[in-house]
Amino acid sequence: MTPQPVSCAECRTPLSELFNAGELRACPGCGTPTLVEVFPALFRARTVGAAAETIRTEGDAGCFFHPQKKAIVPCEGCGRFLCALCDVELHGQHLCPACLEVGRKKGRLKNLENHRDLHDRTALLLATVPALLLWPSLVCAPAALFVVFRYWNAPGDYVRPGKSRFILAGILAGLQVLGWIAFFLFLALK
Amino acid sequence: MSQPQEHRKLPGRGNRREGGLIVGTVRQSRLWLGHDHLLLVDSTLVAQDLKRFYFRDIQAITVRKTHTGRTWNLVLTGLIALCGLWASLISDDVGRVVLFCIAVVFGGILLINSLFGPTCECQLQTAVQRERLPSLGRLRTARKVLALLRPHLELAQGTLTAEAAREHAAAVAIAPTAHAPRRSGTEPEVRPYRGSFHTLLFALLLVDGLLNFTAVFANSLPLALLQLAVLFGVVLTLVAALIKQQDTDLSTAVRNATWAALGYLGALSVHGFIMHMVHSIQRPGEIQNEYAALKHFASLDPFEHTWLLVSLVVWGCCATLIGLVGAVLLSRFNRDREQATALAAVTPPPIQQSAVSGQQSAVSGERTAPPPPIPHSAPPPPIPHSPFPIPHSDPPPHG
Repeated sequence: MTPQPVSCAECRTPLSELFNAGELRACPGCGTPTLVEVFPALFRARTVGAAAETIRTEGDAGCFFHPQKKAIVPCEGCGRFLCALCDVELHGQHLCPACLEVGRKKGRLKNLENHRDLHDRTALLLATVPALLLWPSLVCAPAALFVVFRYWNAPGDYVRPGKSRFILAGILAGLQVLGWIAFFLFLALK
Repeated sequence: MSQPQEHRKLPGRGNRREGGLIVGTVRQSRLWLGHDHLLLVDSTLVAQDLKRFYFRDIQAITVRKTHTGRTWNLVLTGLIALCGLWASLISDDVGRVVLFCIAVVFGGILLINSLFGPTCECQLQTAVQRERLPSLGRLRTARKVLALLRPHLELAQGTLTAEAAREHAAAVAIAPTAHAPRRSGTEPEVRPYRGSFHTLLFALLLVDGLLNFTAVFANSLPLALLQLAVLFGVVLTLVAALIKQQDTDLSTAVRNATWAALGYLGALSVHGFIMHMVHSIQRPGEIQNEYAALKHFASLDPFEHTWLLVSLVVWGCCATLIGLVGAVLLSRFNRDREQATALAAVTPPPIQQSAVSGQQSAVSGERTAPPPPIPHSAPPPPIPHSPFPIPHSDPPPHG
């Protein structure tokens, strides 16, 4: 299997002449100054996945998902026997596709996580922006408090974890709610 | 769930734009360095999208210098010059101070843009994807990040000199015409579009040009109101045309004509704003009264006011030119497409043809003419010896 070429993003001309030149050189196709850094992975042959072996001897354990295929390893998540086809190796762990999917969805396998909702930012937005217009904070401040309490344990920013935004949003929203309560009490007493 | 803290922020930040100028999203993009991978984080206001590129999988990083920074510098210089020119033409001190402040703001942006250095576009390639890295939008940042990444990549993969890389490339014989595979999910679907909004837009531009030329000889309030109505129609149609032309098969030339119409409207707005400001300075009593200003401009005789004559002629020429060119390009595009459709309808695909002839011969029992002999072609060139194992060409192991 040949590797995909390293080509110019503009004119699609292969840039093999510019490999690891260490400086900007003109693209042979469009003349744009281009720097190309390539690494040995470019020339590495792609590995082909192992094929599952059919059961030949009576008494051999079969795969949970493919009973006619020979099991080679148990899943470290659920214990099911897996053939070579179903075995997914992830950072030294052998998992079945079902456990992999569950782990991805529930966020247990952090290396498979590719999306995060930032509830702390949502809470902070709800606690700050509507307050500038005053009246919307009547609805948005309680909503911000709800988000803070509901998602307090939810994971926040992936690269900069912390609860500071939640705390700030909680304080601001709490003050707004208290302010509104005081305002309505004042109106009622007046 | 554990909160990973092992990522180190890499220099540079940028925006990833998806979709068009009018309907699209902008996400802030940053790169983080993990212990065995590079993490690309695209953030919106309330969510993060993560992509990991493991050091062992990164094949290449390309940095292509772009002209974006230089273009911005030119635009900003032009705006500063415009402010300076305008300030020298007016006699009002407050106006001069305001214009000076605007020029200082533009100058500051120009200075910052110049200090950041030349711009570039950076791409990272693995065996199965090619990803743009918007955070590396400046050449200096890209070099810095490359210098930071190189030791990690070399630790994971080993070193590769320039000569060795070129030798390997020649040995593996990378197909020169092959393109990088595109992910099916990200490729926008191309829709056929006849260009009805564009037809209307170019027609309205022609009408606008005609009205401008008419105003040279018969400038009046009804004509000015009619011009305003036509311009309003142009704006609406232009917005609709720009939205409709996204992800369609419309030719680039027609698209460019549409963008030129947007440029025309932008320039017209700037000109109108300047005229309105001058009018407001000259007649302070009519600052909030747009209708009075319109009546005033409509009462002027273009042959007595050279600036008005020049404006009407220039804008008339621009509108007519864009409308005419756009209409011609659009009609040519539609004609070419109709011809291509007609040709496709007349010529059946070869597989179907052979299948049909086969069916006919089977039904009628007649012998069909034998297919023409395949010309003898030269044998394929021998595969050069490669130092790397090629999985499919290897013989199966014995035993």
